[in-house]
Amino acid sequence: MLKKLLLLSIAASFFTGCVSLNSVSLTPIPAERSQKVSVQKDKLIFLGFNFDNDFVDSAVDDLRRQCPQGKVTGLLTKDESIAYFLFFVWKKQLTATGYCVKSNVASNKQKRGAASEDTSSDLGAEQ
Amino acid sequence: MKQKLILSVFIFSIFSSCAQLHHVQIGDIQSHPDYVMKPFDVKISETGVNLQDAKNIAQAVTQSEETKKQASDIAGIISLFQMGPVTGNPVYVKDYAKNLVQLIYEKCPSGKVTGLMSVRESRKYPVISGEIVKITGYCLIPKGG
Amino acid sequence: MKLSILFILLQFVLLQGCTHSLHLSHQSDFGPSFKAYAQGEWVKSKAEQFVVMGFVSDTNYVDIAYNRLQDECPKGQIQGIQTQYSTSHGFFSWTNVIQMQGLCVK
Repeated sequence: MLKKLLLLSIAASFFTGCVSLNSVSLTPIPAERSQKVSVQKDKLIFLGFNFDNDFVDSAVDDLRRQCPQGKVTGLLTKDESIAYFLFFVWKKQLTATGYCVKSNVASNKQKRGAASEDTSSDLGAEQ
Repeated sequence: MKQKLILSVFIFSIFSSCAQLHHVQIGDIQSHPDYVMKPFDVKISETGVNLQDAKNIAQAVTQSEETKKQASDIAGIISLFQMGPVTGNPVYVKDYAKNLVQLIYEKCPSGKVTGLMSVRESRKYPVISGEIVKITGYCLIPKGG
Repeated sequence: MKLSILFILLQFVLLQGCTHSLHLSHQSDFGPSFKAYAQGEWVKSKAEQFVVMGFVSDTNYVDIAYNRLQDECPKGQIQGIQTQYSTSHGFFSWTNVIQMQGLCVK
């Protein structure tokens, strides 16, 4: 019985991952929160051998594709490391969650059919 | 002469600090033709303590083997109560950077702030360190206002 | 002998205090609303995760803090958000803490 328990605990420690959070950031949260966007990118690293971090590069494009006509804001970005198999294998994981809001720039472009500067914030409005 | 040189190097190493950057992030930079950008920075610092350094210095100043062992034992016991991930040296004050946003509003009461850069860094001295959070940015002030 | 007493005293002093480590403090933008402090309502959220010897399988507490902050300001936008990630150390265990605060503008 004790032997089985020991074996089970060893197996559990082998297959479960220990997560550590490296960094977190958050951008301003919009009032309009109906359209959620999210992206997750990860990479497995064996025995610590990692030669690039290019896996994160496509995250921005993926978010942009989910919100082609708007602005992605309220973006919570987490950078995590997950250790498996007694720290022999690592998974680096990037998770970003936010909201797509219809930006004034996009709507201006649609209305006027021309490119415009992003002076659509309250900065310009208060002038 | 050699002794004086060693002493001056020792004093220099005690009073000079090493800076260590842990994290830096830059936000949106927005300019507007009707505003001028006035740079500002705010900083909050707290004293961190390096237990290992304290142990090493205590062991260096004593001749007694028994005291050296005691210093090692004490540092070992204390470290059991201070387990967990660290960035820089541990501090004894919780939430020391919580009023940083209020400091930004003091520098720029209008809230028209842009180009923010958040820096988390340490200034390391023997045993102690300054655990620093620094924010730099620009306050947008209306032209002629 | 005097030195040993000093060490024991030091031990008690240091054991009394819990240590903390601030890993990062991120400050978000103030736009697009750019409101003054008096023009909004200050909102805060906090979430913690107790960890024993590093055995932890998720970082959901970050999402909990994120959702709590939004619940504090259901119909407004939140600008100038400060996100702090810290750890409070303990005996063979520690507590990870996420704190968020910002100005809710309606």
